[in-house]
Amino acid sequence: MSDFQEEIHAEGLDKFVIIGVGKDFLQDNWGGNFTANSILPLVLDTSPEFPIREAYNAAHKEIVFLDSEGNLIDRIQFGFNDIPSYKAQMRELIIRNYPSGVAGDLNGDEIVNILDIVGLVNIILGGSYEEAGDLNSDGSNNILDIVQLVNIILENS
Amino acid sequence: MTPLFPSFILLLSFTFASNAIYSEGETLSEEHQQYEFTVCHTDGSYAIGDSFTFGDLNGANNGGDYKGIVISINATW
Repeated sequence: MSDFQEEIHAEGLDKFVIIGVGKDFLQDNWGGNFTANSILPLVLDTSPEFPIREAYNAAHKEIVFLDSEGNLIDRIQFGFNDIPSYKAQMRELIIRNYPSGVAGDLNGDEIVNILDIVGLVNIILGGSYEEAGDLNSDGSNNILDIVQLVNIILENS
Repeated sequence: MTPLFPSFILLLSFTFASNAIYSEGETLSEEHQQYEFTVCHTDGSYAIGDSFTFGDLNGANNGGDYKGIVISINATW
């Protein structure tokens, strides 16, 4: 399973990331679980409270899905007996809950470029409001959103 | 006089652990998004020993890059 994130990202589903949570620092020899040998970021669930596990009332080898707004959307208890079927379940959940739209894509062409800057300028000059153009989520469209949009374009170029 | 700081840390830990069992449809709170966890395996974007917060993946905090999150929870590795 450790290559699952690489698989979904290769399919273009890179708006989902997988976080491995465990209770101890990794040792050299770690088990054949979901996150074994992966390049995934793994974090410690702080002992003795184990806040992540407790917050989701999760069992060992449970997978919890959050959408891009932080909402708990589903969970799967793994048995590790039929990995392909778990992968299929996870892929289906990710696709069903995949975030729509691209940040800064005001004209909906799935590309963030100069046309979106022009669109955002027009929105600002027209005094209207578009949530898609509110990149810093401050409730208004203004020069700060243009700066952020330019940064997105530069980072992706 | 007993210092307040250790009590504050204990309170934060206890609050996350015991008062917030999320059900389907519920949203990870802002407070819990800022709770820091120690990274214990590098993925290239974090180094071992770095702090990770779920808020790192919230587009409102990182320049608009909103991520869905799959949490693989393990009692052991």
